[in-house]
Amino acid sequence: MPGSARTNMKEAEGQRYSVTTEPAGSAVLEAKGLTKVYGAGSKGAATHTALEDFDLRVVDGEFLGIMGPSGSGKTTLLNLLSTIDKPTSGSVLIGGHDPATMNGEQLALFRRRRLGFVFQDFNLLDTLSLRENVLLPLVLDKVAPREMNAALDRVAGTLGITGVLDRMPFEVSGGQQQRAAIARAMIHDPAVVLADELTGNLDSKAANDVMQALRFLNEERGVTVVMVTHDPFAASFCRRVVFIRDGRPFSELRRAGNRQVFFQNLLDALSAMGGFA
Amino acid sequence: MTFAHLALSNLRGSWLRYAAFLLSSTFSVALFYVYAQFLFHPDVANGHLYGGGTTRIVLTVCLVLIAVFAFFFVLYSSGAFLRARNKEFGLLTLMGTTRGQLRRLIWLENTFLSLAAIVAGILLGVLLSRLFLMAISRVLLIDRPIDFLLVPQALLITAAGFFLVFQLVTLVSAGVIGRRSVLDMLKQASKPRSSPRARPWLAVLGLLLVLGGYAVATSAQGSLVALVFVPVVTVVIVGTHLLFTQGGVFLMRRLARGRAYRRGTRMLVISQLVFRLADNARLLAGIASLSAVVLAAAGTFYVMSRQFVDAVDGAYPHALTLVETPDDRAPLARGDVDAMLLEHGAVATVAADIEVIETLYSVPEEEGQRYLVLVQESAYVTWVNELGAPAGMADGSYLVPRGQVAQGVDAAAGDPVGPVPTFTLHSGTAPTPDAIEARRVQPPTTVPPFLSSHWFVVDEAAWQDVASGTEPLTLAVYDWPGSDRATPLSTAVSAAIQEEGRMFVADKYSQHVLLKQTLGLSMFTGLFVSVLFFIGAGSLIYFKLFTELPDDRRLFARLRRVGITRRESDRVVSRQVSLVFLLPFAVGSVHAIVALNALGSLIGTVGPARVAVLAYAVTVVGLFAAVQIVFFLLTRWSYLRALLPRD
Repeated sequence: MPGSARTNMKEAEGQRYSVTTEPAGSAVLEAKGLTKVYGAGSKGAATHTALEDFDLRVVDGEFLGIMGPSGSGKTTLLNLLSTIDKPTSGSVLIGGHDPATMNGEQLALFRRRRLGFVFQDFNLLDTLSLRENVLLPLVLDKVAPREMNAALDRVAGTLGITGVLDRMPFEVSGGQQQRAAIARAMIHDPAVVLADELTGNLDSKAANDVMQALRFLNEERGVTVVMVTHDPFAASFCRRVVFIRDGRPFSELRRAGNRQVFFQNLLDALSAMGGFA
Repeated sequence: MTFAHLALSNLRGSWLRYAAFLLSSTFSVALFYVYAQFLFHPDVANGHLYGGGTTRIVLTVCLVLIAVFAFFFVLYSSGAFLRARNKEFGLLTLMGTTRGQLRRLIWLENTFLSLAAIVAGILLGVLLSRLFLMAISRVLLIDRPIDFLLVPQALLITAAGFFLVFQLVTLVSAGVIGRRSVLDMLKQASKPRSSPRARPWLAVLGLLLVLGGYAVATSAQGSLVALVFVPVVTVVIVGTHLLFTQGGVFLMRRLARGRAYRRGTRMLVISQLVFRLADNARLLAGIASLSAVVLAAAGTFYVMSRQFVDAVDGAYPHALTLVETPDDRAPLARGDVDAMLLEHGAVATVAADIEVIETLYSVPEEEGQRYLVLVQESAYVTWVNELGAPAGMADGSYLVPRGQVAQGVDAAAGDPVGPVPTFTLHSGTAPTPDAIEARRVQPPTTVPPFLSSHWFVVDEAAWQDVASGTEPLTLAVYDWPGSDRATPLSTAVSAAIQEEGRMFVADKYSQHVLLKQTLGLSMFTGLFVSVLFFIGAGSLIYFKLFTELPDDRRLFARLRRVGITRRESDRVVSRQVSLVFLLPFAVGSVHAIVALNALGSLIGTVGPARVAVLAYAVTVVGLFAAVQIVFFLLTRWSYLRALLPRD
């Protein structure tokens, strides 16, 4: 019952931020005219335009992939969307909030409460058990233990990591680490989960497990996912893929049939784009 | 390109990585050199040092301790440094470098590095000792406690000793590297270690050893303290080691099970500290034990010198005393003093007279004769009450035969006139009609040498008796604020007295100058040794912290993405750094206070004096705590700056 899960999420957000609930299908993340120029500040330095006038609209419950060759601006885009970096011009709106208006402290709190991150190298803390890693966003927010455990039970079961929660990160497989990282990214019901090459360090079996889990969360729980990748297999789980080249949107594919067909479409699009992967 | 070239370009290439290791090694060398230079300095080796041989033995022991400490420190930081470069060595092996070549490379690099550290360390040491000498002269008001010299013996011992230390360390670490497999090396750079475990019974044993040592040290009385010294110190050092290696991890793991653990930043702090304490336990335990030794040594010097100062302050409660003799032989007259007070715009807080009679007596159980000073009891009581002068009885009361005291001395000539009265010890019986009671008292003021004999109070009748035969002398007593310090007034008065001779005047400031000169070298030693050590210990922790900077940087970059606020990361870092920085010092301070309390028992003080010894101990510990906290704040500040990007 994805609808009810989404409503719950909205309610939780409403409590924290007291924003009016938007109708389903509205943009949860919206970028307009995003431009990032490196080296613009310093005199005489060579400037490099990593992203130019980029528009992107992600609606609630979407599973969006962003693909492009190395140096195409994927990572820059993700950093701007995730508020880690600031655009040279243009704007980002996440759940109706503009990160550009926030100071460092507010930004950190915003990331912690409204965004979830999954990284290629998992980004788990070595000194914490998987359970502690997953709980970290809630612990930092001083959520009551009962509430934390309930949230943990919900995500850990879905991701199949309940049995390994008390292990340390290096004691479990890469796939389990990445699933724990996904659990951490969504335990606090974020507005959007941002993933960066999350299958890059995994073997194909683990990559499949991780992507299946992510799709399940998207379809059954209504989690909005934006994923940057250059792996067409991972991208084939998305419902929409935006291709980016030289810092501009190049083309866009929507999944119509089954995943195998979509995978083939993606490969075709990539080779049409100039061949990589 | 020869192998030496490769080693050199390695050094040039990853300069920053070597910097921390090089700096910490340089500092060890500098520390040792400054110390050795002091110990082998001709003035110290041949000169007068308070406590003489014992002090020299203590200094030598400290030097050995520093050497041992330096060895382990270099071993330790070299190990950490080489671990960080595992991947590089793995790559070299992969490209076909043989084990022997790899060892040779490490040996060459370390030899270059150690030579640089030795040269830089000695230069730094020379600079530091020069600066320290200058600073200490200022503090102690003496020209120069010892001359600044380059001591060849110290140069040789430092250079040769450290070269040996570095070579040994290199052999050990090159051996370890040479035995690792390529895969291990390639992997190890990013291999997280399993969570450290502690054996609870060892932690408890550590605590029991420390507490047991405390109990013995506290309960031992008098000379027994010296007897139990070595066993107690050994037991406490072993206990401290266990407390740090086992107890710290054990405690953190217990905290991790606590209710409040998963709330806010506490989880991050504690989970990090488990590793950090386990990694640094031996270093921290070493610093704790050495802090204790050094604090106790500094405390001992301080207690001893304070006892001298207290003795002088007791004997010279007021700034200046003049004896007004009938023929006016005092070098300073009241008029001179009043003029000087006026000239320096000072107001005397005390300007009072007291009348005394000096006379001669003999005591049956003693041979020869003694001068004594008689004061009228009512005058004495008023004086003590109004001026807050020291009062007190000493050595009991004597019976003075009535009528005989009058035949005292001619104050001017200092010769006995007529028969000398005999004093008998007043053994509890009431004075008989033909004897008066004279009670021995503390001199109530600063006393010129001329009158520095025993002081007695007598009642009015006896005073009248005595005064009828001998002209009383008038003591003019002055006091002004800051009379024990080098104020213009104090120095002017002191200078005037120097010119005229001191038989009939006494001033407090001259005594303080004399005292400082006597104690100068000892105080210098105590201060020097401890300041040096604390700079050294603080720096070692500082450098050790900075070797962990890359790991921490990675960690906080991750946390930043998860959404940790600046304030939260500040808190996490501060808690960790403060514990690592201040814990050894805190433990060492407690050890030192217990040790100094035992010292109080050894030098046989009881009652208020015992309390004073403890107060002095706490003063010393507090002083160094303040220094350490400043050092900590600086470290925290620079660490945070290096760790977290500014938003």
